[in-house]
Amino acid sequence: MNLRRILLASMTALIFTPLHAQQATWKIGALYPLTGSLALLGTENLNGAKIAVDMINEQGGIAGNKIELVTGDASTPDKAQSEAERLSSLENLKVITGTYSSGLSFAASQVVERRGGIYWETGGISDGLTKRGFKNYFRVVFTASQNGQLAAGLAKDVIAKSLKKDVKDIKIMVVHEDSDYGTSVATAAETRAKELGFAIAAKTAYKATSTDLSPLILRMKAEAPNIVIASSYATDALLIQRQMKQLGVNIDAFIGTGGIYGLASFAEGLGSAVNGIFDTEGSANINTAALSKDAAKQLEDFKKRFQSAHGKPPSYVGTQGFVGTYVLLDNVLRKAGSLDPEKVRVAAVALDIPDGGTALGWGVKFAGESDPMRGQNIRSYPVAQQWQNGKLVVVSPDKTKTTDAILIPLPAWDKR
Amino acid sequence: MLSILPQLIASGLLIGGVYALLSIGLTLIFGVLRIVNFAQGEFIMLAMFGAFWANTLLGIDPYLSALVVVPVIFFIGMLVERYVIQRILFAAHSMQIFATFGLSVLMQNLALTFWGPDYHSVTTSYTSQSFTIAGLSLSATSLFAFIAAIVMAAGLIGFLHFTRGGRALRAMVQNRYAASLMGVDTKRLNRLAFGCGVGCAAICGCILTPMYYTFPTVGVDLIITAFVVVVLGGMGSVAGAVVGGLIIGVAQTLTGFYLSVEFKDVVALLLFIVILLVRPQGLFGRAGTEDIGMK
Repeated sequence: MNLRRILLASMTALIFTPLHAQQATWKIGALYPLTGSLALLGTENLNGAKIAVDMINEQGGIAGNKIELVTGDASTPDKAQSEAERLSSLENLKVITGTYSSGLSFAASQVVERRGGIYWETGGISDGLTKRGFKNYFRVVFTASQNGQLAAGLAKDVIAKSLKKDVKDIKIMVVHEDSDYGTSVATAAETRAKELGFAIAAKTAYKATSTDLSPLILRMKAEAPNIVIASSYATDALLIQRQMKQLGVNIDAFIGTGGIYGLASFAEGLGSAVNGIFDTEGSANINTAALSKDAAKQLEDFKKRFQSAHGKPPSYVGTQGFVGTYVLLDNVLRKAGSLDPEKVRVAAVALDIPDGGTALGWGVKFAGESDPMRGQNIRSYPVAQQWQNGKLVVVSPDKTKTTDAILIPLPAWDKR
Repeated sequence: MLSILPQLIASGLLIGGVYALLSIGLTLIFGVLRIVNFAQGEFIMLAMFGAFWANTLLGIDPYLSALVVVPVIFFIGMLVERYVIQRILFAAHSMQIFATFGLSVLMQNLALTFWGPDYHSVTTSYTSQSFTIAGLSLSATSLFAFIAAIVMAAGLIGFLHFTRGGRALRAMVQNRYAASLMGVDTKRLNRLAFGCGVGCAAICGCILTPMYYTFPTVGVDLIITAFVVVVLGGMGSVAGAVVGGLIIGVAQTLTGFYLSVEFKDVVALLLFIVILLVRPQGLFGRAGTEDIGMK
C-alpha cells in the first residue's frame, strides 16, 4: 500500500512538474510502416526524416519552436488510414509526412485531405498519388513513370551504345512484381522502350511473395532477351538472380528499378555477381558538382550523422526521407511561420528551389492547380547507378555521374 | 516450347519438395493434436535466424547448424505446448485459431524487435550452384531440400508405423480416452508431437536459409502454400503432404511457363478445388479426421 502511494505521488509529480524552461514545440505527424513486411524501408525513410529534424533543432528550430515528430505505424493500408485518423483528430496535427509506400500513402492522405491537413509525401512514387487533384498533397520525390522511363533511356544511351548495336536489334524483357509499384514502373519502361525502337520480348508480372520463379526464368531463357528490366520487392529479386544462374540464363545487361536493388542486402546475397547490375532510383552518391554548395554540405553532414547513428551509410530511401523532411521544415514551415494548413500550403506552392538545391540534386517546384499532376515536384528525377566492386556508383545522366558504366555485356555466370 | 518440358517438370518437382518440406511439420501437428498451427511459419523464421546467426557469428554452415538449432526449437516447441497449446486443446476452433495466430504475431514482432527488419542472406559455395544431369539444370539448394523432405517423410512414416511410440501415438489419435486407459501418457505424447512438428519446421528453416532472405515476416510468405498442400494431401497425412507438395509444384511451374507467371497460383488453386470436390478429405486423408479422437 505504501509503495503504491509513493509511486502514485511521484508519478503525479512528474506529470505536473515542467522539466525545464521549455521551448515551445511544433508537432508534425510521421506515418511510416514500422512493423510488418515493409518495416525495413519504412524505418529507413523515417530515420532519414529524424536526422532532418535534429539538424533543424540544432539550428534553433523554427521561429523559436522545437520540432517534434509524432510517429504512427502505418504497416498496412487499413492501419495507415486509422493512424492518419488518430494523428489528425486525436493528436490534432495539421502537417503530416510519410509514407515510403504508395499504397499506404493513398490510404493515409485520403483521411488527411478530408480533414484539411497538409500531407507531405517523401517516398511513395505511384503516379496516381498526384493525379487526384488534392489541394494539400505535396510529393517531393519523382514518379514511377519517370523511373521506368529512365530505365529504358539507360538501355539506349548507355547499354546499346556500349554493345554497339542498333536498338531494333536489341530485345528487352520487362519483369515486375504485380503490385501498383512494380506495374506502374514496368509499364512506363515498356512504353518508353517501344518509343525508343527496342524490340520488346515480353512484359511478365509475378507475385513478390513467390517462393519460386523458375517458370519466369525459363520463360526468360526461351525469349533470350539482351536486356532485362525488373521491378522487384525483396526475396523475388534474389530469386531472379540465383535462378538465372542455376538455369544458365546469360544476358547482356540487367536493370533493377530501385527498392531492393539499391540495398546492401542485395549485394550481400549475390557476392561478386552483383557487379554490373544497374539500379535506377535517386542516389546519395551523385556527383557533388551537380549540387549547390549548401546542398553538398548538407548531404555530407547527413551522411556522417546517418553513419554514426546506424552504423551504415544511408540508402537512397533514407536520403529521400531526409531531403523531403528538410525541405518541409527549412523551406516551407520556416516561410509559413505557422502550422496553419492554409499558410503552409501557400508557402509550399510558392516554393522555387533551383536544380541542385537539395542533397539529392533535385530542385523543388510543385505542379500547380491546373496541372493534371497537381502537387508533384516537377524538378525531381531518378538517376542510374551501377554496382561496381560491391558499391553503387552513379553512371548516368551525365551531369550527376561519378564514373562510367562497365561490364557491358555482362560476363557469363561462371565468370562473374 | 515442348523441348523445355522435362526441365519444367524437374524444376516443378524440386520446388514441390520445398513445399513438402514446409508442410510436413504442419500436417504432423494437425494429425496428432487436431490444431492448425498458424505460427508454423514463424518457427521456420526462427530457425532461419538461428542458422543465419550461426553462420554470421560462428561461420557454421547453415545445414550443419541444424544440429544445434533443431534441438533448441524442439525445446521451445515443448514449452509452447505446455503453456499455450495444452490449454486450448479442447477449446472451440476459434479459440485455437486466435491462440496460434496470436503466437505468430508475437513471434514476428519479437524478431522485429531483437533483430530488426533487415533482409539477411547466407552465401555459401552452393547457394547458386546447380547440377546438370541429362541436360537438366537442378539447383543444388532445391535438390537438398527435396532430399530432406523425402528423408524426413520416410523417417516419420517409419516411426509412426514401426515403433512402439509411433503405435501409441496412432492409438491416441484414434481414441484419446481409450489410449489413456491402456496406459498411454497422452499429455507427454502431445508435447512430444508438437515438439516434433516445430522441429520439422526448424529443419526446414535451416535448409531454406541458403535459398531465401531471412527477415521477421519470411514465415508468412513461405507457409501460405503449405496450408494448401496440407489440405490437398489430407490433413494429418505425412505422405499426403509430400504428394500434395509435388502436385502443386509441378502444376505451378507448368502453368507459370505455358500460361502466365501471374496465373501460376490460380491454376494450382483451381486444381486444388477440383481435387477436393472429388475427394473432400484430401488425397490421403480420411473423412471426418478433424473429429476423430476428440470425443
